[in-house]
Amino acid sequence: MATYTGQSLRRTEDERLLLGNGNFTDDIVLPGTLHAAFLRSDRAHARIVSIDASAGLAIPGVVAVMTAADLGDVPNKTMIVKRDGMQEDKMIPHPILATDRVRYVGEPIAIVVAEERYLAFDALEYIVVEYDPLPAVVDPRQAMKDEVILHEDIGTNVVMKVLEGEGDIEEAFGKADHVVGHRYDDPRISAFPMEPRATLASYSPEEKRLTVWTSSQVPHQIKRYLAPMLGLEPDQVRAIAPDVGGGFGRKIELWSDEVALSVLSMKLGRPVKWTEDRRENLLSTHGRAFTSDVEAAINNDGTILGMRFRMIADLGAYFYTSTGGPLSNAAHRVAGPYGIPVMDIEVLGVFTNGPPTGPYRGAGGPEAALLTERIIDVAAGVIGMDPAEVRRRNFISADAFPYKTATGYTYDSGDYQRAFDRALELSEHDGWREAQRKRGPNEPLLGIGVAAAVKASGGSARTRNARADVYVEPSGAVKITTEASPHGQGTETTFAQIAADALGVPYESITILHSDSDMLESGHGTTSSRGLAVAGSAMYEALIQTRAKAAAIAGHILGCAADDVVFEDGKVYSASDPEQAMAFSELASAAYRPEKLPEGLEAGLDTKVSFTLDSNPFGFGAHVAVVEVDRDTGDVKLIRYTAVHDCGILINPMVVEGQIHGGLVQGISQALYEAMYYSPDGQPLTASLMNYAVPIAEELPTLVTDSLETPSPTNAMGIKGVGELPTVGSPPAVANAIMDALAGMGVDNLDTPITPERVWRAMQAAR
Amino acid sequence: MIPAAFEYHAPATLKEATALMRRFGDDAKVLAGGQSLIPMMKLRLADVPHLIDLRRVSGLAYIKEQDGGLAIGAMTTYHELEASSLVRRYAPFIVEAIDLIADVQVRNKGTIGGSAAHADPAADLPALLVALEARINTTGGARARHIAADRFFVDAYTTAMGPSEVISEITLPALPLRTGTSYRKFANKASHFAVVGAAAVVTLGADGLCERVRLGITGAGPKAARSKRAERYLEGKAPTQENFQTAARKAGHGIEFLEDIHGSAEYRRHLTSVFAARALAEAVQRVAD
Repeated sequence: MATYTGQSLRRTEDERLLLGNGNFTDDIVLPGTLHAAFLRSDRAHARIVSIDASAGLAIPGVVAVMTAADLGDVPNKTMIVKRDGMQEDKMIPHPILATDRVRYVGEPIAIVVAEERYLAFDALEYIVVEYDPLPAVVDPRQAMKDEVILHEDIGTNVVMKVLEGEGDIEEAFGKADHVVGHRYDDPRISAFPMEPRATLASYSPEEKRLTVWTSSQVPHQIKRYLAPMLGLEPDQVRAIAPDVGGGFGRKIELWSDEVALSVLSMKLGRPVKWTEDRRENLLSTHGRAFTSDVEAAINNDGTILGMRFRMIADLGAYFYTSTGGPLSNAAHRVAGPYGIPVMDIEVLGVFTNGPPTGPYRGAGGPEAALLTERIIDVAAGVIGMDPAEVRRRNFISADAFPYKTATGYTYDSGDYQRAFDRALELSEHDGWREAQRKRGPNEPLLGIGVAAAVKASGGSARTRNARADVYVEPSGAVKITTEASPHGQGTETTFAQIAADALGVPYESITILHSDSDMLESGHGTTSSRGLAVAGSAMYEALIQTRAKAAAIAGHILGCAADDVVFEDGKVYSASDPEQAMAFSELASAAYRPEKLPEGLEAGLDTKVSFTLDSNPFGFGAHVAVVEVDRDTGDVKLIRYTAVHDCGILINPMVVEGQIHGGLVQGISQALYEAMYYSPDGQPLTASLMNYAVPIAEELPTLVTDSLETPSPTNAMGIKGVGELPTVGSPPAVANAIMDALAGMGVDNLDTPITPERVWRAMQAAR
Repeated sequence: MIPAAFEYHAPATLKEATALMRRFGDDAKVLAGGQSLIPMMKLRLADVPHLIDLRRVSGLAYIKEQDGGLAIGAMTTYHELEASSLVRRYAPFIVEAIDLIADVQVRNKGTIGGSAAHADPAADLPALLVALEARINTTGGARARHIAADRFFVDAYTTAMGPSEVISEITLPALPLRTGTSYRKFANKASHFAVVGAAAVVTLGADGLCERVRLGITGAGPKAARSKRAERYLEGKAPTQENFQTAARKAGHGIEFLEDIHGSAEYRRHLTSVFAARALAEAVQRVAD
């Protein structure tokens, strides 16, 4: 009886956003607001000899300059959550402000607060920092040698080690027909949210309460971590994420910047606002940053016997809250959609003189898939089998679920073969192969690449718990509070679709509230593809409980059994005697009048739940990329992109497609365009859009997408998350297509981003 | 991204503008659209205590026919050039090149005079100006000057203009009959400026041979310049692929190739010959069209 679920309703959010009426952190204006600007290190590694802010402070309108010395009782460190592979004695947190040493370009040293934003920026130029330079190390393989050590007291830069796997890899390699290996670099890239970070901190000395508006994916976590650092009780902090212009995982930290601004607002008793600029954003944090060796054992019939991974993750100079997260994720996720019996994985985490890294859309998944999916193509080449066929021969079959991988994951459900075949068909894969054979020597090279990817939704056991609150007003309007903290996902739309169907009421009568820590006791926000899968499931549970109580009341009033009550079209009626009916609004009104209720039932129609998803749903994506390579310049043109995803039951296919488009483009961009380059001494070379490349619409082909709906048994709605899934398969699909185009020339490897010059050099070397 | 404080001047005449330039010397910069200067100021890469905006100077935005060629006011925007039927008729590659410059917003603001005066080594229009043998007319110096484009661009961000000189007009000479033009560019994936851009102006003689060849290269080295060795090679020769290729291989002669993350010197050298050949071939093709 789903009226709304499965419909491509236009997003409720879009009108206000498209008309410029969104309410982002920078749009919020409080009286008496001061403006902050950060003085950040321009050295990659140096001792701070002295900081002289007196000339800056002397500028009229400059209210304060804060350095680490002014933090008082506030501990000069951010919050870390211990992840697999982290060691207590090596968990060096990011400082709030640098004290005697800076370890990357962009590290905050001081903050100027002024009556006007312009003044704050002007004053930055008058703060004199005397540095004593130290040698820097930016290459993680170099950093592992410990010739330059970032934190002397721990004596090494190698601070994380994750081991994963199952079976005897030497035995697998020994009995295989072939063993192939490669090293792949996966450089630092920016998550590149349209809206950079922004924070407005406002402390009320009268109420002894701090309110922080911040461009975050995790307002509840901001509150939870921030309060103890500031010596406040949790209920003295309120964190609000207003409209947020994208996060992609890089807005799940408690930033040192947020702490510093809060301290300033408490000290000064006035609101303090900061909006990051693009340069700061490009220098603040990155995703990916892996360099890895991978080997695969394969038999001539296409069976993959085992894989070995030796991965090194560049952590940057310190840990932020989630910096260590992608390492163990990557270790689990190298299994992909294949039934590979033997896996042997080691992931090391290394400090370097760069900003901290952390999860970026896919969070270890794309890092893993780049290795597995590329080495499968190399193996296919060695045995002379089409890469698509090798994949088909190794997929976990549809009847093998739940399936436990050799990397410790249990996949819930899927039909990988069917989705993959659909992608081949939709992309006209075989037709392109034919076209490739017919290509003439004066035409551009043609390449076809495939990739298949699996992505968990929901995150860890901790983040598989969520709260939700359903409140039916006496008028029949429904107010739902979710702990999801959307920043582009369309949650206000999709959650309302679910709720309207669950209660049989008009979609317009549902209001979805979110992203304010005062609304719910706790929450984990929108991360790890958990928005719908976990927070949505929690809401659904609350809706079911609400409906059960409503049915009991309706049955009492209509004179039928509770399980005979039907909710439909804003009406409530008895299934066995539809004449016995009432409006939903009448029922809602009655629910608040004790005299209308059956004995023993409390008045009211609202439900609060804390709900835990026992296990993760896993989505699947099959991608086919077709590229042309200019024989003269090495320039790559993506001419066709096809992707078929299976993320369980679809609530709103258009919203899903929108997320898929965004995810595909971010992955395509990773393959072709993006890298944060540093000079060997740690100076950034790509700190603006003049040098950091992201694609524009005209550089991309039309994206062809389709969906399969294999229900997940992990939750009542049969759903799986989709947010990160498309970003996992797209980088290797594009890379494989380029390698396929170059296959005849003897080019054996290219690292992402696969730039024209890299292709040209490889073609030159192969000639 | 907030610039340091500056004084803003908006003179009504070029005379006033040059007087301000003389008065403030190195502390002053002329604003002629601001699509490069303003971002540099915002990033605090350029410190400009006095900004002299030419937007109020009337009579600097025009496109008119002159001696069979065109006279273009310095403050004529890219968009005005792109939309002009005079420009399209005179040399269609100007319109094509402008279509490759940034985006509509930039093209609505950026000007031909601003582009020339800024002398960004990766800008597109300078390649066309040298290939067309444009003259850059300046005022504000000891006397009005008409500087040949290939002498105007001296080095990266450096022109032949003196400290108080300002561009008033750019003139493009008449092109012979049976002339074709082409601009082919390999764009920087981030900024979309030219890693290498090649502008070709080729006239075929009655005998079908390449009678007159002009080839301007931008992006490859510190300044836009003509590739005279390539031009000389092709003049008097048949318009064949083989001759284009050979000429194009000479196009890099004398260029001190730049090197950055968007292209090594070696790659730029290679691209110069690839794009020179493509531009020459297309220019010839268009004579026939």
